[in-house]
Amino acid sequence: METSQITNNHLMFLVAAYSLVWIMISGYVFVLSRRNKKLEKQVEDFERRLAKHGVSSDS
Amino acid sequence: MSMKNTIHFVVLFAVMQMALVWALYIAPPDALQGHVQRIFYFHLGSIWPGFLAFFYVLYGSIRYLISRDLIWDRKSLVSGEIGLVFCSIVLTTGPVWAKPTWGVYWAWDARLTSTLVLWLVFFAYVNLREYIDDDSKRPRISAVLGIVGALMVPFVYMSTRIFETQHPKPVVMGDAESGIRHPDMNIALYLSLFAFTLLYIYLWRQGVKQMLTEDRLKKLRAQLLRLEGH
Repeated sequence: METSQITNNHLMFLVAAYSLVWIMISGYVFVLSRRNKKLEKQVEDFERRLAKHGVSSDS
Repeated sequence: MSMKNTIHFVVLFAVMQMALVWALYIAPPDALQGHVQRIFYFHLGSIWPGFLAFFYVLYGSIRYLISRDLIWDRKSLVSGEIGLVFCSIVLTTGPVWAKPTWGVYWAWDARLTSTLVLWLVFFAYVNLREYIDDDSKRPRISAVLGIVGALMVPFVYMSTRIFETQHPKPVVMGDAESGIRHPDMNIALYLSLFAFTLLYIYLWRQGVKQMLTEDRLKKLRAQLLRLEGH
């Protein structure tokens, strides 16, 4: 195998490793943001329902 | 987003970009391994904050067992979750780097095996608590598991010194003959360590905020149940 071909193959490993880093970080950030959206929605819903009973959510 | 969070995010973004530029462009390629050695900067860069995250689990779990204050359970859980993500990065980038340098993706040596066991312990720490129904037992069992997991970290670190391993000796705080020499290689390494530490702190703060919102929701739900009577 020629040296340039070996280098190119090795560059593929470099690209793969850095892609994996960003896929995993993005995946975790995605999970966090999805969880956040769900929580915000629930807080809004509960606050609205509590307000119907004349109760403030801070109390 | 608060001003503090915005500043933290901007600094994190800038340091991460600098780390990438140094790791992929400015640092010279390794004399033996060539460009593929650049994997090292983010491979090691992610495990150090990962270890930091696990040590925080140790600290938070001990604080929980002493005080029984649930905030320490929540803070430890978030830290364990982030540590698990960073440990996953190490366990996946490692084999990708190993293939072109060792000729195999995986070797069952002490370092790789102990890191895999560490990952499994924290995977259990993060996920098994969902299966414990008793609210009072859950944080206690988690704390004990978290302490056991975190106490494995020194062994994982020392494994390359205690045993003959395929994995190289430590670069940071390692022996005189191990490590990197070129100043730009050192800058790339320390920048990525700093970037991942900032990332850990940023994610941890967001995670703790979410956990506290979840606790608030539980209280609101209980309040609603009393009012609506079902």
